[in-house]
Amino acid sequence: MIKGIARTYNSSENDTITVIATGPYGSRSQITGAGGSYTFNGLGNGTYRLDFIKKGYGTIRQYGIQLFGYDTLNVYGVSLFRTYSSYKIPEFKRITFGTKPRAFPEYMCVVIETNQILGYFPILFFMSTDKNVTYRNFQECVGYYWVYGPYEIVKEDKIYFELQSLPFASGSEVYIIGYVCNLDEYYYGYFDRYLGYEEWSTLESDKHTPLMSFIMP
Amino acid sequence: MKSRQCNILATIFLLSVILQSCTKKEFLPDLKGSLVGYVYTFDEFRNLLNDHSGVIVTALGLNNTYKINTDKQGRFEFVNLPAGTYEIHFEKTGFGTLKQFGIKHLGGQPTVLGMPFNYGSYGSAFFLIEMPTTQIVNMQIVNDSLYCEFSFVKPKPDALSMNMYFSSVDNFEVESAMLKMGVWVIKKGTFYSTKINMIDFPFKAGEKVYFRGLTSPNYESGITLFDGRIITCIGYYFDYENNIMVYPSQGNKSAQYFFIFQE
Repeated sequence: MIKGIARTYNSSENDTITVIATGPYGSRSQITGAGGSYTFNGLGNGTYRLDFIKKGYGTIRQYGIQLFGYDTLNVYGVSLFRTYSSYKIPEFKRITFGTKPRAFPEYMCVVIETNQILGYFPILFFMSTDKNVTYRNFQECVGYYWVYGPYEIVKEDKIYFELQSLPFASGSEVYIIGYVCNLDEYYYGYFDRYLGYEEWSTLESDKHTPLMSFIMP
Repeated sequence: MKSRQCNILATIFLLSVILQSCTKKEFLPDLKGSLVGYVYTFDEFRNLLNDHSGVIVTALGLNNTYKINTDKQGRFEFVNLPAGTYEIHFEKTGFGTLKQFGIKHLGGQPTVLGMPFNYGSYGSAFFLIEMPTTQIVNMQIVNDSLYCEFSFVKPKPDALSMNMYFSSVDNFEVESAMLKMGVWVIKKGTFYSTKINMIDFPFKAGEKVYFRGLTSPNYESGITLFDGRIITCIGYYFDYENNIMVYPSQGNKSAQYFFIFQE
């Protein structure tokens, strides 16, 4: 028996998630019940993979669930994140250096200027000294921290990355690319144990910014 | 009576036909699946290397042996490996050989070694460490400090870990040491040194205490990858045939030295 809980992240909807258990004897499917719980009974011996699927959300996989005899295995804590497939990436105009407005301390930042006032925007950035930087080949991954005013989120047309937190040597050319991705998942993204990659289930691999670069001061 | 005997014989005949037509395979389905794992390689001072390719991973099963190489990220995959319990060896020229026993592979979907299916930021991987080239050329204990001199082939590290063995018996073997401790010696000029806490030493004041050392990488600490994941070390194993714990990449034991234990 495999049992567990799956929910959408930070949602108040009456979530139902489709859970598919695939093993040596084929696949079985279930819809989560109250509180996100699910149970697969009567599974034969073998190793199983679970897929957690919901329309409008990224698919999450769990591997290597070994069942033997009358085992009951508990699989907990799966969160699904909503996708932003229809998000339109703003135009990225140029990269400069400066400090973030109303920030303290005033750390020097890499500043990316865009063509529109941004609120929250779902773009995850990847940086590397390798010009072939992608979401699979990177040295640093950065979720954006937007600027706060005293009592509100200040909307800017610029994106700021603090230089002191970037792991690149002074003088090196750093390449940067951004992909549409739910930034809540940036903090909770998971390592796909079978493929051997860090995975963001909501990352849209064909929706990305142009490749940009800057020289690390 | 005769009719009853015929019924019994017919039943026995029918059962034997049924049993003979069922092979062992049908009672135990022939499951196969991928077996995946991860290997991280280190230099002799436990610095993580950039390229983990070229580790030969061997899976020894009941009737067959399978071999595969790791890729640059240290990942290996046995595709379509039959279900069973395996002994797995990890080997690379210049590195200590790691063995693991009793690896269960049930077949079906991929078995992933070291990574629990309840995902989080923790996992385990197999650590392969270069065989040491550093030699211990001299050691002294003065008051409560240990001083060491080494002959290095590789660039000098800022610190290195050692195992120290103590005994009141002259020409002792490390296996029969009265006391064993792990230390980190820190570079201080031409020497490496550290303080030694002798509070629990089982020796008397004025007694001659003999000691030896050997370089040994740290087998307890894990690593934190650039993406924040913490990977704990699977780097040593219990050799069931010889009944000893094996640390694959320890150096040769040094010559014997001595000091006079002071209260």
